[in-house]
Amino acid sequence: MKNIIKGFYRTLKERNLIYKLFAFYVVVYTIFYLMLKTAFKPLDYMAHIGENIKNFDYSYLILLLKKHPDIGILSFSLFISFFIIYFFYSQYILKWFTENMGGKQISLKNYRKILLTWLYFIPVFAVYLMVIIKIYLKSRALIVVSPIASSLLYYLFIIVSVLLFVYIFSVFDTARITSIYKDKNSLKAFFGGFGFAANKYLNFLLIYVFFGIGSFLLLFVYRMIVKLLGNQLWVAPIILVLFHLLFFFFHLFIKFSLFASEFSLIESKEVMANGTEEKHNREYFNRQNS
Amino acid sequence: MKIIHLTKMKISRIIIINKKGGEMKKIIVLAFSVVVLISSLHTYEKIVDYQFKVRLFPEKRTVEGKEHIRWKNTSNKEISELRFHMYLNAFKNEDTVFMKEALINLKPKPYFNKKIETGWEKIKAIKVNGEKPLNIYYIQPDYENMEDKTVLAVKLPFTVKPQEEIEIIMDFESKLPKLIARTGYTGKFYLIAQWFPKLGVLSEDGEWNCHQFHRNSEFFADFGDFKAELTVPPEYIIASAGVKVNQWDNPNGTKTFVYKSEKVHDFVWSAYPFYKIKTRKIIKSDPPIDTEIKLYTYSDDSWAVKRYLDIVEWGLEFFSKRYGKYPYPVITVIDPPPGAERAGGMEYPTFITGGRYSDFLSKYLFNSIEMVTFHEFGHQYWYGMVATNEFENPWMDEGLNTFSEIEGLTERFGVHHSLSNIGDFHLGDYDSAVISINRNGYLDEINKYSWKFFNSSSYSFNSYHRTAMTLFTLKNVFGEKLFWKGMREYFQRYKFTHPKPDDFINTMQEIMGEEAGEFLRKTLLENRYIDYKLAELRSVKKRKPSGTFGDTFVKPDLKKKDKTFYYNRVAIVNNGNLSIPVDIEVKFENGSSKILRWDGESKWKRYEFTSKSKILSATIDPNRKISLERNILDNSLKLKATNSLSGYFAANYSFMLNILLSVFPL
Repeated sequence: MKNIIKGFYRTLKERNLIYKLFAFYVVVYTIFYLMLKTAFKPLDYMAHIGENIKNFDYSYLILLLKKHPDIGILSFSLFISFFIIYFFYSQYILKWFTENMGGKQISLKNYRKILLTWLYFIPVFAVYLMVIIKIYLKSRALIVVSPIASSLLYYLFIIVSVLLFVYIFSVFDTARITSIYKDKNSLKAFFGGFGFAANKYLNFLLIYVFFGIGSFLLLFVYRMIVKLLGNQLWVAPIILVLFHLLFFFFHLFIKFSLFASEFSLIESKEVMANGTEEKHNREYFNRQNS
Repeated sequence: MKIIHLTKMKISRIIIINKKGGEMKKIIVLAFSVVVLISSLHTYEKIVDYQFKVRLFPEKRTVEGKEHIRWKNTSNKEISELRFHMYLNAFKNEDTVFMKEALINLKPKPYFNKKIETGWEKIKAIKVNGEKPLNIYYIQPDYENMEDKTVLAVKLPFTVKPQEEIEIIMDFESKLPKLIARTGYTGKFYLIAQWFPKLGVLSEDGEWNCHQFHRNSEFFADFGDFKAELTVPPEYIIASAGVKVNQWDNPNGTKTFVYKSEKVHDFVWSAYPFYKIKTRKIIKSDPPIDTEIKLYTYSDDSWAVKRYLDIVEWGLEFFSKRYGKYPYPVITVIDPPPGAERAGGMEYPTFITGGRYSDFLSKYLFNSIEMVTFHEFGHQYWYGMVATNEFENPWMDEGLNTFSEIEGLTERFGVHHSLSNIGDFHLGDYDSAVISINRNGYLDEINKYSWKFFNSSSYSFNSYHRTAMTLFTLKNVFGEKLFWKGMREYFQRYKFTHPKPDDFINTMQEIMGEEAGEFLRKTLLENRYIDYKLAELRSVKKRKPSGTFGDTFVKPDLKKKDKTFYYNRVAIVNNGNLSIPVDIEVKFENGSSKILRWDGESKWKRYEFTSKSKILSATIDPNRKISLERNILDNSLKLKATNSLSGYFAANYSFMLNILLSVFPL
């Protein structure tokens, strides 16, 4: 926790970086927003579909999507493209961050490998999902034979699967960050990072909990404002943009803090000044992996 | 017991006719009157009486025992053959009509993997009036498919005269299938439906109406009384149609329960060791209700129990108020446990199965308990009491019931909120019907045999939502008060009988007028649809006209515009093949509005008029009376986009997406 607070402090000091990131984010978001707005534009020319969002007739929106599947395809391709942009953008942020904080330089050619590390994760996650859905359905269906066995299996399954999910996700995340930081063969680093990640996952868990609570809090405030807006839809996009920025800031802040706290960047900056960066890194990871 | 309904209108018609005639004419008119009188008698007549003594064998997944039937020939012909539905034989193998229509053969995965999973029924011994039949054989009246053994013909050694009663006694064995089509077993759960040899319906002219079991069809049988002695192992709890009248423990450790159900046309029961029983007795005077709701659920979840009981209570209130009293002392509701979802969403007389499907789904996302349970309860009226032929006219029960379901849920939860409320998003049952009706494929007419539709989607679209929207249009366009009067009259006149499409249309026509009847004939019996489109909307400032006036050419002068008048054009196109008078509401910038009325008779109509204010928008059918409209997206236009809905949704979804993407760490 002490490290996380230190990380917060270091992050706050990097104002230039945050301004740049904000500018980039606004551009990406605006493009995405405008493209979606164009897709939904036919709604603005329809009369009699509800004066405000409270009495808006959603059948029009659903029919619009049903009759114009191109809108759905467009939205999906936007989602995918935004996901890719977001991914590379995340890696750039990490690069900027490590450079600004005086950490290890990460070469751009590494991003392809980084993307691959995510691809390792996807099939594992898919299999995991299939297994838990299967167990969930089996545990529920067991009720037709024995309700007690069904309840036992169900609750046991819920507890184990949640813990397992958090563990797997945290370990993967930690391993990924480790692999990026080490700047070597990403696959090797990725799997090499597991030992370290397994030791550190509780710290990550703490941050995820914090991040999750914060996200829900923001979502709640956002919902409240939308509810209060009611009749003035035109205000919603403005409020939402502000929330996007706030949410983004929050997201960045947590991630940077996590990164800074986990990799003792303050120390590495000091070490770099002494010109023994490589040695330090080697020692640091050896220590963490031991 | 006979209940006679005679409409006032028909009595007065007879009296008027009689006053007009001379002596001979009087005789003719009297004869005609008698014909009219006879044809207008709609009676409940107990045709059949079933008694069962059966036992459930869980280890074999069978029900075995005796069936005792008393049956009356109500046709005007002598008959020498009986026909029985043997529904469970539909699940004997993958080559039956039912399984083939369900496209089982086209799926790589076999449906039946073990012998125990198949279903069948057989008569082990049968005597009619104490005599053995001449012959017993399976027939295929709809499709020649020798593997289909769902209709059994029994050749009698004698003929049965009109109004004569016979007694049939048989030993039978029914092997229950792995849960399919709302019948069978899974684990220790049993839904025992369509489980006994059931007589078909004999028409007045002595023809049997006894179709094979089809994938999209349900059932059709005669009214009567049922008494069942059901024996089960001691750990089992029975949920059954009808009322429990007795129970006892047997020396061999089993238990026997006796249930009776009167004035019904089917009998179904369920057995499961872990049922929890929740009851609520409803007694009200306005509308009159005196019924006990018995819920058989698998969990003590108070939220689910309350929602089940509340919605059935609302069903009793709504249907009693709109159509007439629910006449039975009990309604049994099954909440199928997880793993037995295939038993959900089905109706039998005094017995329905609900649709929780998943706790998460029904608790947070979708009012599935309310929608499914209310729908199935509605079938007590449209199928249970007004027992139309579900094989031949599926819209008569499903369509009328879907209409009633939407009305009832809308009245209780609101038009846009009855199905789902998640954050801003809300959807009503009516909205789901609008979405369903707004489609391209209108390949079949509504009134069609259930297995003759292009596909299952066409069957359900026509039988459920298209019929419901036809009735909504009828109600909105031809008058709500008369509509409800007509529906009530139809129910009262035909309850406990088997009405046909003409009976419904004629009743509504009688109450609502010729035009309403004509509308129903076109929409129900022919493949007609309504599709209006607002094709043009213009509003420009009036300017001084240019051109040669007399000998003088007047130059165009765009600067000299009359600021007080606008030229307007509104054009509407009829893309459908049915016309119905429609209003077009034109709204102006100064807040005023104008209604244009079109009879819809031509292919298109253009209105040109001037106004003091510029047009803001135009909307076809502003009060959404024409629920049958096939494409509502082109029914309105704004001259300028004034709303910011696109901005709202774009911002909203971007925000949600951001949250979703945030799970991928930096």
